[in-house]
Amino acid sequence: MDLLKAIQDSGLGVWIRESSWALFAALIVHTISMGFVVGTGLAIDARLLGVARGVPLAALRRLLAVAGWALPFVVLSGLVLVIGYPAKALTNPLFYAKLAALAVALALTWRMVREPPSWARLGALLSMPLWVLGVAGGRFLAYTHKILLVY
Amino acid sequence: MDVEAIAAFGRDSGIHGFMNTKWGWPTIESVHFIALSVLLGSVGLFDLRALGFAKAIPMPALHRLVPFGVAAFAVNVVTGAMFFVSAPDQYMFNPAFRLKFACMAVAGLNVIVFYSAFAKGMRGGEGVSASLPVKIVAAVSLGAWIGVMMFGRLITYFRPPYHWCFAC
Repeated sequence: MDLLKAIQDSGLGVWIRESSWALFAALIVHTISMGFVVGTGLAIDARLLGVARGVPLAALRRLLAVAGWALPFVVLSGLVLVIGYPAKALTNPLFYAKLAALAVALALTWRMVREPPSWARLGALLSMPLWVLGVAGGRFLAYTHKILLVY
Repeated sequence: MDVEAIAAFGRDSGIHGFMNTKWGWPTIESVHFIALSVLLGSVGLFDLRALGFAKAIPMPALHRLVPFGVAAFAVNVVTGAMFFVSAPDQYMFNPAFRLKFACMAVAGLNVIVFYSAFAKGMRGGEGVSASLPVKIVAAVSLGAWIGVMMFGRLITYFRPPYHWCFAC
């Protein structure tokens, strides 16, 4: 809690909360870049499940590169949101579930795209709900926190 | 449009009641965001391909994902309407909401332009660049959808009556 309070009361933390635009700029960037990461992930899953067979499997890594471009924006904007309200996110178990779901989905997709394995269909079926959980988890963070700020 | 009539419809239809159950609003928001992701993962990827990303993928092949984007858009019309009828005053007098709709109008016109003029005989096989008009259409599409998301996200920022709206 001391650490959370220190982050929250740091100059950056205070600025993120008090600036008229910082938080919303981060939310906008987070929403759009997250949409690209998850959308690309779902598109790759769809292809592995047999949709749009004209898309060469060998080219799927080019699609994952789109998510690769968006990911730094997701992480940076996410960091801004966490530094602004560290206790809100880091004391909520859902936050870790969201991160875990996205990490597993990313790792799985990266592995499947490198060279589609025999279990690619199973992997696609598994990563789809993980992407969904990543998005829904993020949305529910705004409704499930026990602590907003540490006093 | 009459705010009171829309609010009454929201209440009478039970949508307002459902949205205000404990998990109603975040559940529908999650569906809205997931469908938004599907739109980016289909139409957005197609636009990026037209603009020169992932040229190894033939454009007609990637176009097979677009129907998923259309379905996702339909889902978002429904989920969006659920938000709207549950708190019409928060949207009708909101500049961000109006700008979001302006962006959707641009995206809609852009779709008409694309399918009436450029979709047939679409260039862009493996490794082949899209033609310049298709590139322009793709850039407009991508810009419009990013605008839709940006202004969508700003709806809660410009929550009336705390913010000024030049037209409302």
